[in-house]
Parts: sequence; C-alpha cells; structure tokens
Amino acid sequence: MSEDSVNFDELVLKHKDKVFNLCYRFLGDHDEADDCAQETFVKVYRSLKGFRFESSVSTWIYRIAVNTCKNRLKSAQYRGSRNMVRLDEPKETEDGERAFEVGGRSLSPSAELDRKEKGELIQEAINSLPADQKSVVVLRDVEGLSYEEVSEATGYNLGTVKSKLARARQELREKLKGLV
Amino acid sequence: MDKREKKNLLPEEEYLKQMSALPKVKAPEDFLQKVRERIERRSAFEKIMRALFVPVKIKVPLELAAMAAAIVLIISTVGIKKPVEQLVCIPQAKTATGTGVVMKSELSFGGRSAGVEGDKKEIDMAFINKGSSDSDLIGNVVAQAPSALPPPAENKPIEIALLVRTEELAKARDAQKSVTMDSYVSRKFKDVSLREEKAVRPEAEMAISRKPYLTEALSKVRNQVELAQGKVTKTEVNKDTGMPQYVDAEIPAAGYAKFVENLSGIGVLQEPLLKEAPQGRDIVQVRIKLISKE
Repeated sequence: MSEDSVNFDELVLKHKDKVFNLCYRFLGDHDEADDCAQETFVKVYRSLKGFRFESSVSTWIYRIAVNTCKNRLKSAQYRGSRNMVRLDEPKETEDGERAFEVGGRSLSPSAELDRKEKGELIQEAINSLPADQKSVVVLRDVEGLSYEEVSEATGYNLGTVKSKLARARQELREKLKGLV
Repeated sequence: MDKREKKNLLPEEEYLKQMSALPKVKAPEDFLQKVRERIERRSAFEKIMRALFVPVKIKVPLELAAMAAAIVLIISTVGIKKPVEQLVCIPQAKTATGTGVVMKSELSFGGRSAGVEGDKKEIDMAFINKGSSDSDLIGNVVAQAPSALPPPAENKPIEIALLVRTEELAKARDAQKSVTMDSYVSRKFKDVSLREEKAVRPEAEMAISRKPYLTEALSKVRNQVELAQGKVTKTEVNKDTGMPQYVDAEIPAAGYAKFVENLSGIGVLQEPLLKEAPQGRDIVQVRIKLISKE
C-alpha cells in the first residue's frame, strides 16, 4: 500500500463521522447520507493532489460534502417529484380502479411514533429549509463550526452566512415552537 | 420582528440547546472499505475508458516529424506535377498502345531494323514506362541494364542510343507549354482521357514539335564527331516525320572514349554502353540513335 493511500485512509477515518453526520442532517436519510459521504471522500481522493492548503483540510472536506449534498438534493428532489403521485389525482390502473400511491416515506405506526421523537422533528424541520439555509444551519448549529469556517465551507461571505443563518433559525424556531 | 411574532417562536436558547443536542450519527463500520471499493471501481472504469478513447502518447522527435512533413510535401508536389508530365509524354504515347511492339514501329528508323535488336529492346524498355516521369524512366533503364557490353562483331558498328536531354526539350518548348497547359486543364475538367488527347494531336504535329531539337542534337553530334577527328558517314531521317534519327560515323579508336564522354553532354546515353574502343581496331564505326522523349 502506498504512502498516499495510507494518508488517505487516515483522513477518512478522522473525518468520516463528521462528514456522515453532515450528510445525514443535510439529506435526512441514512442511505442517502451513506452514499453521499462515500462520494465526498471519492472526490477528496481525486482532488487531494490539487489541494493547496489555503484552508484547513476539514473545512475543505466540508465544502466538498456540502456541494455533494446540494447536488444530491437536486437530483433527489427530481427523483422524488417523479416517484410521488398526488393523492387527489390518483392513477388509473388496468382494472379501471383508482390506485392511491404514496411516495417513498410511508412509515409504519411504530416508526411514525419514533419519528415523532424530538430529533426527528428537528430533522424534519431542517429538511424543510432551502438548501442554502440548511447548509449554514447544519454547519453552524449542528456541527458547531465558526462563522469563518462556515463561510469557507459554503463559499458565502460572512455577511451572507449571518443573514442566511438568521432567516434559517427564525424559520426553525417557528416550526419547532410547541413541538420540542 | 414584533413581540407578538417573537412569542410564536421557540426561544433562541432552547433552539440552540436542541440543535446541539441532536444525536451524532456515525458512519458505518465498513465505511472506509466502501470508499476504497468505490475508488477502485471507478479507477478501473476510467482505465478502460482511457484505453478506449485516449490514444497512446508517443513522443515524436522533431527531426522525424520534419522528415515526415517533407516526405508528404514531396509526394504532394510530385502528385501535382505528374499530370503535366504525362501530358508532355502524350505525343510519344500516341503511337504506342502501351506495349513496346508498337513503339518499335516508331523507332524503326524508316523501316530499318536489322542489326539493332539489342537497342530496340533497350528503347522498348525505356518507353514501356511512358507514364512515368523522365527521371523514373532514365533511372529504370540505368538500373535494369547491365553496365558492360561485349564488343560488336568486326563488321558491325557500335550502337549508341542518345536520349536528347528532356530539360533542353522542355526549355525549348516553353513557348508551347502555356498553350498545352491550358488545353490540359480544360480537358481535365472535361474528363477527357489521355488516349483521347493522343487522338486530338496528329502525328505530324508532334513530329514538327520535336524536329528542331533533334536537328540541334544532330548538329551537336556532328560537332563531337569532328572533335574526335572522325567523320559522319550517313544520317538517316524518318521518312514520315522528317526527323533525324540515325547517325553513322567513324571515330578513331584513340578518341572513342572521349567521344562517348562528350556525347553524354548532349543527352543521356542509354546503358549498356561500350565505353572503350574494342581492341585491335584503329577506326571504330558507331551508329548513334537520336531519341527524343516527348
């Protein structure tokens, strides 16, 4: 095994949980988060030689993760919009009956109970945010990065980070009022 | 934000507390392994794609590239030049149907063919290649012919075939060339074959165009004979075309070698050629064929 791959393995082991958590909070789905985190590290591996150490490695990895998640969200929304069927406009089946389909996230009663748990509620609230606000909230309020780090990871300037964070927080606080 | 709105919000401290208290989701145990597999899978795919679509990089030396470019340039130049040369050869090809047999009739020097079989073969060999360029023609003859010729029988003359230099012909024909080129180009566009071209130009016209050069060559040959202190015994002219074609002369054996050397200044001497006078002779009889390649 080469020195580079050893170093890369160390990098993955060091950052995998943070990246995975970021992806999970961003996407709200475990499998998607797993896939996205893997994709993030593949990108890190491929662009490791071009990394110029102008920012810290962790911030750089976060930036790749955020962009990967944003891209995934776009394609997921696209996929979701194709898979979902409006309940008020059911599909006609071959028998002439009307089939009511529900998109991917139909949950069992017990899961529904779990979902009602606090964490899930907060996650749902985060999921409802637009991607740009979501990235700022997750990095700042969940991962605990400084404003500067958030600015580097998202590519927004400091003022934009603060304004987006303020709007995101207000929306979350509004949604979570009385639930947590 | 007014107070009523603020009352509808989760207190900021509570919000921050809840957010930071969110459970940290950990990556699966085999996460690193999965990442490694994904990288290897992708690199294998990239290798295949690279092998399929990216050509192998070969370092081409500058000299080699320049040589290749020069070769391409030469070939393309020759390719452009060749049709013009073919046109120049058209009158010659006119009487020939592509075989040496027909050429013999033209080169039979007024129906006389006895005793010149060897030379006929030589000339045939030269003119079978009528489609090739001058340099090709001469080159082939020189390359294929043996360099030494056995001395002729006592009573027979030494045969010398003199191909009058084509560049001299070309120089003299400059005046006609522009007209010829125009007609060539126009015929080329009309897709008229070279065979049709032959039919267009009558034989007499071709003979007329060659006559001055052969006459000039004859004059030069005469001069060389005189320089060698020999004498011209006979000059044969083609009855049909009126072109000088054959010169018989007697040359002192001592001056024969120099005479032959000087002849090469007039035109190309066809090999095989006897360059030294046969031993035991004081006077050498020579028979010089004047050949114009047009």
